[in-house]
Amino acid sequence: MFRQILYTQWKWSGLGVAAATLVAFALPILSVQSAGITEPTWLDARVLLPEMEAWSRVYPALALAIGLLAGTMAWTHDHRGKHVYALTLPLARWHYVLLRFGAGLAMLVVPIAALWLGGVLASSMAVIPPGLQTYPHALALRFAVAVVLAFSIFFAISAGTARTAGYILAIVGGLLVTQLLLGLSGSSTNVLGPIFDRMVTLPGPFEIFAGRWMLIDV
Amino acid sequence: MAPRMSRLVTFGVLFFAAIAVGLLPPREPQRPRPRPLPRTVDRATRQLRDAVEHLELLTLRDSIIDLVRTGNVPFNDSLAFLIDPGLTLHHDSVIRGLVTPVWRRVSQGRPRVRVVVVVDVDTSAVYRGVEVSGMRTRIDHVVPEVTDGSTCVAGVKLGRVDARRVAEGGSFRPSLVERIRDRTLGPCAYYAAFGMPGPRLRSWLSERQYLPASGTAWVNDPIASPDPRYAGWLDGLHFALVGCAAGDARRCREMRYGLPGEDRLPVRWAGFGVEGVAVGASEYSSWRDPLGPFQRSYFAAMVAHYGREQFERFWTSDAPLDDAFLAATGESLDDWTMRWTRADFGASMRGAKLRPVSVLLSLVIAGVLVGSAGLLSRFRQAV
Amino acid sequence: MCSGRWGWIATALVVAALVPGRLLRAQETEAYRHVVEQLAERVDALTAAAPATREDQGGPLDTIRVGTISLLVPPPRRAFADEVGRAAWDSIVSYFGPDTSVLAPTVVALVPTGRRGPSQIPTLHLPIRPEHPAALAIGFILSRVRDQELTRIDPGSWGEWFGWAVRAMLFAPAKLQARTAYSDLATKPWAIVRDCFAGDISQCARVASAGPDGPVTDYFTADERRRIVERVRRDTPPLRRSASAARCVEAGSDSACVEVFQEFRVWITEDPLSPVARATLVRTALDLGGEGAFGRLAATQGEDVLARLATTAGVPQDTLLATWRRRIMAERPPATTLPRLSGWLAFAWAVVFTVAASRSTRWHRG
Repeated sequence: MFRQILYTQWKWSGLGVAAATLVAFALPILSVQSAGITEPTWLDARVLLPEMEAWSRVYPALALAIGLLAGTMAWTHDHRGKHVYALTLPLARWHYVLLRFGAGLAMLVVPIAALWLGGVLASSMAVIPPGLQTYPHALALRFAVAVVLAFSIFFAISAGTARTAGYILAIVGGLLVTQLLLGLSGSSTNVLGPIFDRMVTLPGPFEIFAGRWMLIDV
Repeated sequence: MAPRMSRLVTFGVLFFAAIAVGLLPPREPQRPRPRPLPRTVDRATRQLRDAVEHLELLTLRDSIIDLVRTGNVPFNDSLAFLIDPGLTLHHDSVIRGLVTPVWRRVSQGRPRVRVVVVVDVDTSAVYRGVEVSGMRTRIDHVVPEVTDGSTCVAGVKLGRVDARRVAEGGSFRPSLVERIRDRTLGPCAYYAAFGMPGPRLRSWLSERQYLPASGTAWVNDPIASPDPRYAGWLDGLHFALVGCAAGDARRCREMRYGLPGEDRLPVRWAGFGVEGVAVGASEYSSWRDPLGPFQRSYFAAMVAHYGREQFERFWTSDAPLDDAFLAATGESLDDWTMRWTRADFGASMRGAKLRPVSVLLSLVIAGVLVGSAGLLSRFRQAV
Repeated sequence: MCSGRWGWIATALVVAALVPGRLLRAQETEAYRHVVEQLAERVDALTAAAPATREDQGGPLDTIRVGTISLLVPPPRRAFADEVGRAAWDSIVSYFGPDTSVLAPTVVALVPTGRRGPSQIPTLHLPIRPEHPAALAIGFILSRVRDQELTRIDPGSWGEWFGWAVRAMLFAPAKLQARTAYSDLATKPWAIVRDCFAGDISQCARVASAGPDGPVTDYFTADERRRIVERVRRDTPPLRRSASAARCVEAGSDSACVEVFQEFRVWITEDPLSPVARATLVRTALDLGGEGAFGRLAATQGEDVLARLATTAGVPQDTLLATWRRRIMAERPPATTLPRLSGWLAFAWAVVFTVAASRSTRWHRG
């Protein structure tokens, strides 16, 4: 049964995952393009670090994008078919959900592996200035955990009805509008800042996205 | 329509190969590279200025030793002050009042060496057209190994601003008062409290202009601060320090010995230093130095933490630095350095390393979300 | 000529090679004196060899005079010095007005990197390829003038207050300053500033004379102090770990907030009024005072800052503050308007899209 589900998942989101795989492979390689200096000094390291920091913002964004793509695509066709297919299967519904989730995860292994491969290749061929070192394995692991988390979030949202997604959207939009109105009325109360801070620092759920994502670092 | 697997794999492999061949290895960038300053006249002049300052201090050392030998230095409890007569009695007593209590706590009535504190307000010095006097007040030291073996010299040289203020009858600025109190004895305090350092430690300290042994805060109160004052503020610091704060013990070693191939001397002394002579050591604590901007407290924090006896065993040991520390305290010097660094800067994460708790938390959240999706699916009905 | 140049370079290289390594083992003073002699010779040799490397490195320096500014530059940089001298002088005149005669002469040298400037004269080493060489030089000249005049205005405790004000005055035109001051007064959330904005001159007096080290209880209310600490605490690690800051923000203890202000003064840079707004006050006083105003400002050291400015202006404090406020309010920016062209353009685009939509194939399918 898992193979069947995996096959349908592949049919629905295969192209998107393939594109994400190519980007994931190219990203670390692109990020080290300025690390080709012969006999680099510590001054070169000081120049390289901010460049790596700039690239480091792209990794969590890519993880989110892949999670969003795979999470929503996992349910698109079920929603379109009014879930008749799923309900006719001789499976408990929670079992069906787990199969869908497992199939999605299996597909995500491909871009994660591509990022790891790209990171290892880039690290081995770049010239690393003294004082710096490479973190391809740690980067791939962080990326893997972030992709899984992003996928779970969007998978869970998409698994619900359009009304569920609407509620979530309304909460986020409501917070944004509240902050905007507070700002316009001259109040310095910050609603969004503390919420955002809590979300991206431990034990917030999105801490994984906010840490350091450096392929080359101290 | 399902993309054909084989076609996709072929395309993917081709793309991977094209990227790898086209972009690796990275090429030399076209932009101009940052380079250390060339050997310009400015740099040579700076070196000359450094050297003249050292020469001044050596000359001062010679005069002091002559005075000590002829019995013309008025020691009191092995501490003597030679204060410029240009200073008023008030300034004279302020200096004595600031340094003497620190001396008492350092020596505990049993000083191992004598210390002569020389305070000078004559800051003008021109050597072959190069002006060497500074705006800032400088505190210099000459350790006993290069004097008569039992006398340490501490020189306070008032900068132009302070000298003018004092000449006009003004009192010392509060920041100068603090510096006189906390930095005048500098390495002399360690010689007085613990005797002569072991040869390896002396050599290491000499290369670093005695900076790690120039703080005397241990005589006041323990330094160990429970709060990292500069947590997260690691930008611009030496890579070795940043790596050490991140928990890499190898980098903690680099904090003491520099990176392989790196000029490990502080920027200020890449000129013409003299063993045992520390010119303005307490004034120059570069953020770019491997031991960081607070290295003045490196040994002071050790004394405060381990106590005088254990530190003395380390200070006087003939063994290499790391072995001496391990034998004296039972702890690796790398571990101590890491704790000391983290006391100021906190523990940081480098590269893309993950805390295990982050992974666990993410997986738990993912599980909860999928569980809720499964739970919700029980209520779904076909419409 | 050529052989002479190579001779110097060769000498420099030989001397450099002879100089011993950086950490000497010998501590003999005379031996070290020898090292210093060698170094001095090396400096001389390099200095002599340097002119061969760039055409404007050697030779005498020309003097360019603009107002009370004298610039010493190598002859090839005359035109550059003339340009920056005029720009700097314009800025100074816009500040001091007719009172420039009281300014002390300012002498500054502008020389290329690698060349020694004249001793005892403030020297700017112009980088070989600076991004904005003129801006760099003008900034340097104005900084010198500021430091010099500041010493005359107030070398004491209010030096910093005037320092910021004079810096703001020298580096921005009067109109721009007043406009910035308006937005400052209009947008600062502090009660004292809002009262001043509304026309309470006594509050204006308090806020205008607020110095960076002033008593915090004078300028901010308890609630404002808590809000400031809360904001600074978010971005400042030392404050995040302060027990007083925690009590201030979480328990709302005002005494804890005052403690934080005193203990972490260096982190809390919140000033009730910006230096630019203060600069407009000094400028107003100088304008009202006319001839001799700057001299009066310099002569009244030690007095309260508002009293000094009133003396400078030659009017009572309230009149000075009222004039200052009026000048700032006059720079109120225009309300949002719709330029005619923008309106017509928006309309035209609306028509274009409507026509495009009506031509869509969706409407023509059966």
